[in-house]
Amino acid sequence: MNSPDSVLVVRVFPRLYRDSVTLMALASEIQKRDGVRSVGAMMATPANLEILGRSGMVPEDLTTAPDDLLITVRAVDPPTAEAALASAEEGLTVVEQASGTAERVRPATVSEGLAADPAVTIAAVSTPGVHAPVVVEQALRAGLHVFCFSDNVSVDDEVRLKDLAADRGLLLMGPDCGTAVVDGVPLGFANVLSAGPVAIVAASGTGAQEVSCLLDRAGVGVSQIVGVGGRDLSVEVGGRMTDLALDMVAADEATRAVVVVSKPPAAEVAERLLDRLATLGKPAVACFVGHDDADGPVVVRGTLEGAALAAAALLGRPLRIEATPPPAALPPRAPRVLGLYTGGTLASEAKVVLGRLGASAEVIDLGADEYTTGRPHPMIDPSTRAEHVAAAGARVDVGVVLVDLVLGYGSSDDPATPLAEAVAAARDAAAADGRALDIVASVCGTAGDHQGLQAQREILRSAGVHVLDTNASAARYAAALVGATAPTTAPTPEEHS
Amino acid sequence: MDQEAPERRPIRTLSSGGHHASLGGVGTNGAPVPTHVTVHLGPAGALPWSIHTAWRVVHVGQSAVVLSGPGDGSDDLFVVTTGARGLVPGGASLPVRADFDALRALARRDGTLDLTGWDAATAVHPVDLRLGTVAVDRRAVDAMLAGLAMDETAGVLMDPRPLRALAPALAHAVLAFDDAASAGVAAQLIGAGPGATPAGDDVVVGVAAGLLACGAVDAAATLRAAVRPLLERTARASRHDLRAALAGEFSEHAHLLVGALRHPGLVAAALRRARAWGATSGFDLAAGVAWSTAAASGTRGGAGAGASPEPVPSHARERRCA
Repeated sequence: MNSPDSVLVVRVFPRLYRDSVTLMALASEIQKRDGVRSVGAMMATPANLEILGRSGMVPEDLTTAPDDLLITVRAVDPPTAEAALASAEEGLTVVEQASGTAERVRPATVSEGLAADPAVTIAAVSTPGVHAPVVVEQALRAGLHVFCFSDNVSVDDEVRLKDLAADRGLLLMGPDCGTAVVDGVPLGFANVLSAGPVAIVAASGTGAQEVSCLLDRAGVGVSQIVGVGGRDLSVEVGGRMTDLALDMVAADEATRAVVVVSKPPAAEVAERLLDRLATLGKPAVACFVGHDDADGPVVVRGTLEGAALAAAALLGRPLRIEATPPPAALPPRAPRVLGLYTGGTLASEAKVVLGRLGASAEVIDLGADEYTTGRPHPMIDPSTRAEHVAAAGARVDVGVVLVDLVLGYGSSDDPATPLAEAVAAARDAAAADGRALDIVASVCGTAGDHQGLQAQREILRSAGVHVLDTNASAARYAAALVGATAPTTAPTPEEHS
Repeated sequence: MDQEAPERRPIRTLSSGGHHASLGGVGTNGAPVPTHVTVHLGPAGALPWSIHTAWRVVHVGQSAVVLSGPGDGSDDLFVVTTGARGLVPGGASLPVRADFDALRALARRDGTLDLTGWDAATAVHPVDLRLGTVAVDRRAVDAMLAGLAMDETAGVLMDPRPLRALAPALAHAVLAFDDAASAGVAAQLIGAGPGATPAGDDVVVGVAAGLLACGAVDAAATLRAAVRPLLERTARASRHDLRAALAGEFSEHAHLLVGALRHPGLVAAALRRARAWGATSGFDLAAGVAWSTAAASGTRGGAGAGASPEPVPSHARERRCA
């Protein structure tokens, strides 16, 4: 099998353990290099040596042990083969210690990060809140923008650090910032989005995700998503970072329209923000969840769905939301909707929609601090929410459970399966008690998200969950199931304005 | 393996994973003490982390930290996993992610770890990983085989499917108590294929699980006799798993797959999860489980990819599955 027009190079890494996913990914990457004919990355067991030998991928005189890792490359010429091997070795990113331990090198401080790569421009901070201000300040003083995932940072520290950032023209996204996409790079929880003309400045992580994902369905991509932290539009913080973010997106050539997403800001902050948006020089939508809709110089919408519809219309790409009327004949059920949410702003939007329709509802944000202290956020570990859903089956006052499912970077690899299992348990419990229980969901994600948008929806549907197009439409459907005002049609795409 | 396996305790339920409060403190030896630990006890009920005071760090992954006993190439492995990854024989699982991350951070810094302070963990949940018999539904076996046949591994590097295709041959050989044939097929599988635990080894572990699930303990003994002489031909992490399997102990992954054979409605979700176990390990394991239970229960068996050899003579066959 030795080919006269190719060369074989082999490297043995004694007693080096790498998990199978790493090995397969490494081999796949090397295989794609120009001039590489074939690659093997396997444990050097006798059986594997025999397999590789049959295809001419190991020299006959090779001496190895079963615990050795073997990488073998056949390529068109020696430089190509050696370069591929060097790349493989780099891909293993190891420092061999005296004990044979393999350790990935990662900077532990801002200084180490800058020393490792002076070209970095953003620091992501996720230390416990009590330590975060120190690290954020170090990063800002080093000239870095900061994405601060940490929560439990005091308002005083937030104001001080945002002033420091603004003085330097740097973004401080957060504290408690869950979502950002900066120059195409996702930070925290974010979805796979195409590049496009809409910039989103958000004091709400899942709010930004829902709007950006709905825009994606309308074929509208994003230029930037700048998270500012949930308190930025409070009276105390006064929109310090929203102001800077708006300056930046106004100057951003790729941005043709702007969406600001937040819970309703303090009145004076809202007034100033709307004035700023009106003079931004680019069309803008202000999504203040729970606020009344208004069509002034700045379009104001009170739901995430409404904001996405308006923004899509601004770009001439109408967003269509599927109408799903509830079944004509419904068995009698308890009159209450129980919302069990992983996304805080999605929970807020559901409350608004259910409230407007007069539905009896209890909506819980399971990502709130009281549910996440010392444990993973339910978007990362879906078991917490699953437990609540399973337990809902025992609630005699609940006829409908309303849930979200958020996909994308940072979220669980398969949030639908534990939810589906919990749904089955809840429905079984209710049925055993002679009660009807429906579960209504929406999935926030894009077709590019690694969990698979359609696959996750299908898992839920297979479990008997009603899966709606948007969080707002799911809330409307839930309201209809318990006898509140039933929607007969979905919201229509807004006219281009 | 010949001993009667007790009824298996629940492995993990919705109410036992990931809902515990806070990260534990720091032990007197400096290692973080987890709040909750799910553990597979060692011989005589020993807590595995207490067996050595200086565990060597072999691998620090996103969902597993692999430790070994003192000495180069020690076969004494202690694998600490996340709750999502699940417990493996002789290992421990940390359901609170922060606990695992704390261990992971420490493992990066030091070449050795002293985890004896884990005795002070808030709660230790022992789990019996021995596999007992299962009421296998033949429709579930067929559903698992059908699901495996739809695997989209085609075209990837180092295709494991030729190794999976040996599963029915191995199962039929051991069910026929054919020592020579069993040893021959096992030799083709042990240490063969992609992965840190070579795919062929995962297939063998799956076959062992399927046989025990069907109560085919004598066939399992034939398998054990065929595989034991070959253990030195594979990597130590895989050797660890194989030794446990030959002793009748399996990872939570394997328990989940075997459990799914109780009803066809459970199979799709089990295979979905299996797809995420390593690069190909989940499906390699599932192939072993499905083909061995098919052979032991006389279900489809020879259909589809990896067709089985001649049927096992009925007089030589243990048919314990329903």
